[in-house]
Amino acid sequence: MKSADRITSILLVVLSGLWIFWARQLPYPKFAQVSNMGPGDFPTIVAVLLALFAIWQFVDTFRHPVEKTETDGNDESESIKNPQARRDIITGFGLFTVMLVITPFSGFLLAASIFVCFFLLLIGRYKFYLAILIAVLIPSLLWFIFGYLLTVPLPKGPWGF
Amino acid sequence: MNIFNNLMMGFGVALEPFNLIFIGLGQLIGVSIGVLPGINASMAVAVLLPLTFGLSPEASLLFLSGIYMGAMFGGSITSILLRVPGTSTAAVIALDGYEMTRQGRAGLALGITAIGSWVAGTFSVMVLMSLGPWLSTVALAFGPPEYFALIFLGLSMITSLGSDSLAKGLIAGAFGLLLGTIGMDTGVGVSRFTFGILELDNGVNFIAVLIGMFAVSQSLLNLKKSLSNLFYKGKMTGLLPRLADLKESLGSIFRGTVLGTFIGMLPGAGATAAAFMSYSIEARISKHPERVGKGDIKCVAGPGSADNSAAGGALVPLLSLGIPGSETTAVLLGALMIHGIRPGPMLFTQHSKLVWATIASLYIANCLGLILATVGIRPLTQILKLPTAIMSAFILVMSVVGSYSLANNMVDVWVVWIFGVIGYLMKHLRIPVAPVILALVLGPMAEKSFRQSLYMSDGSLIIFATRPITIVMLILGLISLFLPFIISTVRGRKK
Repeated sequence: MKSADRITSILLVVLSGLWIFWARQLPYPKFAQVSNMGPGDFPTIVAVLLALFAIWQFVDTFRHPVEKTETDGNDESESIKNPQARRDIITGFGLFTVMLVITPFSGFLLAASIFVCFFLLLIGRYKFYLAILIAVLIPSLLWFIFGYLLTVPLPKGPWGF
Repeated sequence: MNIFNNLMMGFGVALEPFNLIFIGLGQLIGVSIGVLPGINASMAVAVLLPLTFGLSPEASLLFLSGIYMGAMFGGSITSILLRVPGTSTAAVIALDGYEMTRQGRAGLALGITAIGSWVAGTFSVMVLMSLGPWLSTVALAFGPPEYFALIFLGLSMITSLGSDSLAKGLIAGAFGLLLGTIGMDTGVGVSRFTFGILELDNGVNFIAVLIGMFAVSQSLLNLKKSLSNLFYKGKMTGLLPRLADLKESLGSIFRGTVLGTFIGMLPGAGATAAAFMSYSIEARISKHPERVGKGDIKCVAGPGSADNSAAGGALVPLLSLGIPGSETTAVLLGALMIHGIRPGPMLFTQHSKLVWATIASLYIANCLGLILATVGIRPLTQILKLPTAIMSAFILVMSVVGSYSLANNMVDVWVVWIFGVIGYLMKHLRIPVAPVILALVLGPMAEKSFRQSLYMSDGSLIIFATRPITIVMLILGLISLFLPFIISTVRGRKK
């Protein structure tokens, strides 16, 4: 945890530095001088604060020893030791990303159906026919509620749905 | 005619069978829509507004008020059961509400939210009918410096939302403020940190961030447990709050109610800010800080009441001054104007029948909401018995649809993806999520009111030291900000 905290602190200081750099590039119109505050000033203040807090955390990692606490097994910060679980996370996240990438081209219904089908097959270990059935049902239900009842124009593929 | 007679006249109109059906129907539709992520109360009211064109002004307003109140409660249902916030106002309830669900206390969380909502809704309606015109004048006396001081007070609570490290809580808060600076600068009209993405000109969509940080990150986190304990599978206990639970939550409900009613009356502040500030207060004053974020009933009861009372509070300036305090009341204003009614100081005299019928309908909607929630708690908790793989897939697909429906573009969907990853990493690094959200909600308001104040004073900070309300709130904010440092230093020296 200590090394992760240190890396996070360094990354946040870099982010703050970039933010200050970009904020200083923003124009400062004459009429903004009335308030002595241009569009880049508030972001600069916030970025400086973020950098200070990140440095504080960085220093803290040297000052305080790591306290080991008892967990109930539900602690979300525990490292992923089970290879199966690690595979499931990568697969789940990968499938989710693929769904987002293909949605504008294939339309929502097809992309979501493919996602649900593979999610149930690879992570839920469902039988093929059951996965197909649920993969049609879930996106169709959501399309009916959002697309039909609430008239949200969900992305469509070249085939019109 | 006194208040009681007016109210009786209002009940007379609202309890007409035709109008009663519309209040109930509105409530039912509101709850159903409230559970869907990405569709909030204002969108629900706006989408269904055309349905009321053929109705009488009374039936129309009663129907829309029912939707409004129903959506406020509906949003908390999926927050508590699935950690998918149905509405932005219910997001903060997910923090402890979902933990209660994991402990098998989903019914209790839903029950206390319903009761809190009822108490809060009733209180805000009483305020509306008794002190409405006077309070809205007080609220309007709030200028930019007072707004800034109020928001500063809310933001100062961030330190109490940190997990086991003050630094991490502050980092999360500053990160949220940083995100809040993305988008068009309202002061001079310059795009900031948008990198040419036009969709970001309105800022990072707050609901998309919520969906990513809550729903997507939680779904990913649960995959590491190989879907074994994604949702609580044991027996649900305490489907309704016991007397002891009510006793424990009474103070939180009261605080949330008063805070929500007042913040609701402030134009632009909104129910989301009220709910988050209520959570911060409960976390700050808790006698058991170790329970905060781990299923503390007070952290569910307070915000659950605050968002509902803010909804009622927002009606005060609308009905008494014709000024909408929130997006939803702006849509309600439109509904009134469609029927040729102009809200304002004369509304109570010129259209007293309509105003008092609306007030009575809010009472009725609150009671119907409580009945609906009480009857529906057991069936609602059955949703958790669905196979976990199906539920996970459903949540992820719903996250996509919900975020897409915010502005009908894929940018918000990618925001969900990015914040899903960030939320996941933050959990691993034990950085609390709540301060990010609180700062993202309050940050843009803080910047706006700060700069407006400086415009008023020609750039001098003295303006914050010359107004009594501002001074009091700033001092309270500073105390709140530095208290945890002082306490931890004193404790460190004692050790």
